Amino acid sequence: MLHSNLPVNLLWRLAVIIGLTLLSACACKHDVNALSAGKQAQVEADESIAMAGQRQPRAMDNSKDVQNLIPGSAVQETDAKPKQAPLEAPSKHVAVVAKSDGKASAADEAEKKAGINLDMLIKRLKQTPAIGVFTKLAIRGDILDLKDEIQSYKQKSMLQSKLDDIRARFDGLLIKIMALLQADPALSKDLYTARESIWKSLLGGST
Amino acid sequence: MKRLLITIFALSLFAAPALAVTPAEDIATTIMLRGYDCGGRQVTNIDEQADGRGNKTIRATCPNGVRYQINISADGRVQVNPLR
Repeated sequence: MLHSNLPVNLLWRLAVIIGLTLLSACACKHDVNALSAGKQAQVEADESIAMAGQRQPRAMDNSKDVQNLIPGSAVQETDAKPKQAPLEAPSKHVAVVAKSDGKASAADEAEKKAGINLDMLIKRLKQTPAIGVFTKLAIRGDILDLKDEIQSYKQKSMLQSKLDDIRARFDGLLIKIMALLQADPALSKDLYTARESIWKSLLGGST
Repeated sequence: MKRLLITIFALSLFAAPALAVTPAEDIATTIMLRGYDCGGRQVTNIDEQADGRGNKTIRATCPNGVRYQINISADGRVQVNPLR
């Protein structure tokens, strides 16, 4: 029958191919699960995409205009600031700020349930192959700009009055990052789940 | 039987999702992230230069024909400017 018609070598090849197919099918199933997990976060995020899409580019244009107005501002920033690892620092202040809030919101509870660690999240964001190096640097620059802005508002004691604007910028930035993480839906979902902690660390970290 | 084998083999080749981003996609995304129109997901004619102080300058052309210069300072600040 089959054994008599086909040589043994061909049977081995057939077995290897079937094995590979099964393995890849398992990998696909895993991806589908991850996608469905990230889908909920994406759907929630989609609602505010339009709003953020209007606000964030304007904010970026403003920062760009400022840089254009001040020649060599990039060099000045280089001199003024110590070298900072991308997307670091805010996580150190999370616990302090979270305690001061008293009540834990639903987002915090969801984050606790998921067991998300901000340091790990930052590490995953740095290492994900879904975003290129230059894009990561651009995102890092946006986050640092936002941190600087929060700090300047704090120094002028204007933070409370500008909190809504800053939060809108933060949301826009988060949605941008989530949109860039289409190829890494698990990280995208975790970022969305941890958004309140990130926000608190951003506010607390800039003191 | 032979057709089935070919189909299975082809499926096994294309099953794994492509995660990594190419430099052309990365640069195009950076341009769009700074609020500029690119007209596509990949740039072409990438010209990359670095000076001794760690600053990097990249010039690339978007699918819409606009050429951009991306300056990356030594501390990682990214600035995008369209070239006229």
